[in-house]
Amino acid sequence: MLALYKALTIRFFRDKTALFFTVIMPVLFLLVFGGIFGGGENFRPRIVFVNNSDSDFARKFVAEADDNPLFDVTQDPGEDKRAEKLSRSEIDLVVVLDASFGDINADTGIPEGEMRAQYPASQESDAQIIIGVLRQIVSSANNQFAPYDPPLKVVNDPQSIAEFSRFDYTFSGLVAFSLMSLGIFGMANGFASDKKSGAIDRLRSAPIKAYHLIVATGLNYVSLGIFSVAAMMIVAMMVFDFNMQGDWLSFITVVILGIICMFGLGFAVAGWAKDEKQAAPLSNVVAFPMMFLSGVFFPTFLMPDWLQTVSRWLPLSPIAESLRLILMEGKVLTGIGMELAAIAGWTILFYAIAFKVFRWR
Amino acid sequence: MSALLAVEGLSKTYDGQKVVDDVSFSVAKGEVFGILGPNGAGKTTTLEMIEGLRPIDSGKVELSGYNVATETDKVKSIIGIQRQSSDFFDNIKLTEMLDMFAGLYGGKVNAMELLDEVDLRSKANSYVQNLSGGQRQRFSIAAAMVNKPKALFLDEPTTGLDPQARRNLWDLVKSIQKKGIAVVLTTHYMEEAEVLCDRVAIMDEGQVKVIDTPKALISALIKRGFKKKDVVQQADLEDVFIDLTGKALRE
Repeated sequence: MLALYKALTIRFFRDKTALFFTVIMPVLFLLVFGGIFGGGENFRPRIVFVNNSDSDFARKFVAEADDNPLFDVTQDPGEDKRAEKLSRSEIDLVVVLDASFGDINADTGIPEGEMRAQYPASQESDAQIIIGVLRQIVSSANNQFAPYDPPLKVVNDPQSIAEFSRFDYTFSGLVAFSLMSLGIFGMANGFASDKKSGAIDRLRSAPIKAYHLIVATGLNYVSLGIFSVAAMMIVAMMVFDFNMQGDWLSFITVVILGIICMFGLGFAVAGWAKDEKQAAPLSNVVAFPMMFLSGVFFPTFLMPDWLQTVSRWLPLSPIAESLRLILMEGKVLTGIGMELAAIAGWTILFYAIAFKVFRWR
Repeated sequence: MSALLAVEGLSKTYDGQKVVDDVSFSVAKGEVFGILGPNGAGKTTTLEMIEGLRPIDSGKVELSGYNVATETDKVKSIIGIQRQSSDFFDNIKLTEMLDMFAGLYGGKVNAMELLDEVDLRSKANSYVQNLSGGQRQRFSIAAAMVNKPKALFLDEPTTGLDPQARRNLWDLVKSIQKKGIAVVLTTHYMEEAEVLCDRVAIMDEGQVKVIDTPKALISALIKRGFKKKDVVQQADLEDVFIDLTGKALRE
């Protein structure tokens, strides 16, 4: 068994394609998804100011808004292009300052005027947020000109609580995803082609049983999984300043249990299939629902209720959930008993099926 | 000579068709026994039942006193198998592969020594996928010998090889025989059987038609008054081929 494990492992590291798919690709995924979700955490609306006024005040107002870190003030694309850009969400809001904006009222000596915020009617709620900020700027200006202490106030009070960035979510999902793709696609490709070539059947000349093969191959996949997750972890910490909340022992335990579970599913698929032609479609049928519905890439709470129920009953869900609880919420093994029990249940089921349907050739 | 392998009334039925029908023979230690027959005669199925790779429908196979049906693993540990339709893992060096196979039998092997025996020392660090057909067959035999077997089973070992590689493999089989290892091989090259085998069984449609030494079979046929239609030539085209290209291996 150890001899077989050793040979399989040596072989893996010589196989550039396998190396790419199990180690490099998850890391690339991480870089891409991390780059998308990690950087743009703050929503900065793009605003175009159309200043029709030539007053000093209007000029100052626009300049001040330009300095505001909450906005991204962009160049006016010109009247004919504004609507088009708005409709494509290339800009979020157009603020038009009336020609009389900032003109000094002769009676009070204070500048007056109106500005109109234009946005697509469908983006009402987003626009309201931006307009709220604009109102604040305007009201603080008003306050300067006409000091007034309002009886009701809202005071900003930011709290320093551990917050989850999109990256944290993406990362734990990607770890779960890479375990799944290693277990299912790795087996469906690698093992099925060895089976087709007869290399698996050749082993049977020696006095070995199916379980020897399962254990040796399983150990091989556990090592690969740890290797691949370690690579992802290093990238996450070095490139994205990923902040590990939970303890490492729990994390590694769940990673190993996750691989064992997903490998069981992969072995059931590849153990049954005679070659890649049978293994590939079956593995896709098995893997795709998990990829999209297990909350690996999209949080499950965004799904309709019935879909959330389906999601809960997918084998990858407890794995993804455990990883998330450990990585993001700092839970330890004892805190994720339900998830572990679910993983164990699936694992037993997969191996029972795998042994039942296994074929040497 | 006491029988190392005893096959009695071996049968196998697939979809109501008898693929192997009441096959019996025995092989002694150090004997080369050939199973001849056209494609589909049941040669491979017979071999695989003897090797413990295919369930036996009826009949009995004993190898060195072990019953194949009930003591399959014991039998597997004292035989070497080279199969017709099997391959090896890619991206593993020959020496590593031999170590791995030895490990499957729970033992160790001197890989270089074994590669020497099959004349593959120079390829020790190659991968199987980069070997030529003849080298691959020789390696396959080396892999079948990691457990120092008492009997070696070769299923069409020379099919697809060029004449040089075939002769080279014959020499290898003879050297294995000299070590006292029994060799059971299937072939559909009659010339090969004549050169290599002490005794042959000729199979057709699942049944053994006759078992004897090649010489005895030929003289029995002549005694019955058989004559070749053509005048017997002193040489044939293969002799011409070998004369022109030499016996040296081309790989």
